[in-house]
Amino acid sequence: MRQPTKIAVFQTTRLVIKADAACKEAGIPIRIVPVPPAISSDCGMCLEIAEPLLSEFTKLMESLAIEMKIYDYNFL
Amino acid sequence: MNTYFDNASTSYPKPREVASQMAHYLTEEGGTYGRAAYDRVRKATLQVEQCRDSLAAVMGVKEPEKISFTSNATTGLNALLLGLLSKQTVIRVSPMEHNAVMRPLWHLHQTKGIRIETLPSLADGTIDLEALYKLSAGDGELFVINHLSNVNGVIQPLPEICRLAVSRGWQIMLDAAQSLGEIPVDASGWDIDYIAFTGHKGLLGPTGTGGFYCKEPSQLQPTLFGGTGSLSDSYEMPAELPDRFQAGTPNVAGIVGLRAALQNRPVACHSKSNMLDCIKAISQLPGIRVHGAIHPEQQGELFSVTHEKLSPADLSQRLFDRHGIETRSGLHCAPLAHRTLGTFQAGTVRIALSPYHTPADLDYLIKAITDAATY
Repeated sequence: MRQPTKIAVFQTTRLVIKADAACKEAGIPIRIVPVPPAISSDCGMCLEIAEPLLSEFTKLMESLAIEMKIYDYNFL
Repeated sequence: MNTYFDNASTSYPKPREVASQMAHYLTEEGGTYGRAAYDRVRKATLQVEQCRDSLAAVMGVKEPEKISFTSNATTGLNALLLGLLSKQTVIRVSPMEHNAVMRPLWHLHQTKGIRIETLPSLADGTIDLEALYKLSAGDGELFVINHLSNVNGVIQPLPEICRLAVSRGWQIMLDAAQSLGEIPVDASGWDIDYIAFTGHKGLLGPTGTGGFYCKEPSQLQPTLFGGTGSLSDSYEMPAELPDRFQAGTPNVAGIVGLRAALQNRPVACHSKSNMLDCIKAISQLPGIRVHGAIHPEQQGELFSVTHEKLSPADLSQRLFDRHGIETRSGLHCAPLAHRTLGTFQAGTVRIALSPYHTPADLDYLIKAITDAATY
């Protein structure tokens, strides 16, 4: 069974790319996924994070002043 | 021998990586900007954002998202001049403006009654700083400054102009079409309000790339509307940058090429001293008059020449027919600059160098003009 995941939604594509690059540099495994329509009509991309890594991910985004919203979501 | 001296129209050659990385994108990668989530799109989007970051570094911009891509400097200038929210009744321009500025302003004059005032200048088109200090212009007035003239290569004393503008509350819009890549631009340090630029001239990127920077995006309304891949349930353009001013799919292939140009800028094959020596040698030829900057430190990598008997078209054609030298003659889409220099209406022959020109290329140019000017 897959572990629960969270979705980080950003206001622009540029922010998704910045967040993705920062996670890669920090060694935080994330995945770029489409924004589920049930969550938002914001940028077409968002990031999927395993729930246990959420705290580390959030701290990294805060340190870079990258704004986002976190949602519960598990792709089927 | 590099006989291409029309780099102010578009630069050639480009760094090899421009073509190779564009070809790689077009044949091996593909992918759009930010509209989906698979890896092909991520890679394409990453390259666009890396280009934006590199441009920010070149322009001294601290917030790269304030840079928007357009297809060239003209589109950028139109987006800025037609999108201004502040109520300008008079817009002051440098005496060397290109029609990329003058035609949108003329449109604003005809449709909104905006008055266009030309700033006082010296004989080479340099803005007269003493007169500028005495100028009575109100807080918030807009000054459009052509950084490096596409006719005689004069570089405006921008740091001094910007210092004065900050102290008087004037806004500065910089046309950096010819300067970016060749001479330093410091948007933050000089506190510039707006910059328009192109990718295919001094930056050595491909045609179809360019953009603009806006310090206070709330002062600008979009002039282009459409899909951004964000806030798609709304008919309003997003407030967030860079999406607010970037409707439609950007020129990803071109931007990949521009990124390659920014990352692989060549070391110049000639020095400024070589260029100034070249100008001096040409200026001493009988029948030839050089149109350049009065002060050598204000001379950019282009200048113009006229002949006492030959028209600019005749001289330009002779240079090509006899020596393969490629130049542009005429008004260079800058009638105001030519009026300032006294070369309206016939214009001039423009010689525009590239970092790839060697001292030997410049020697060849001198010999070619020497021969072509013999009448």
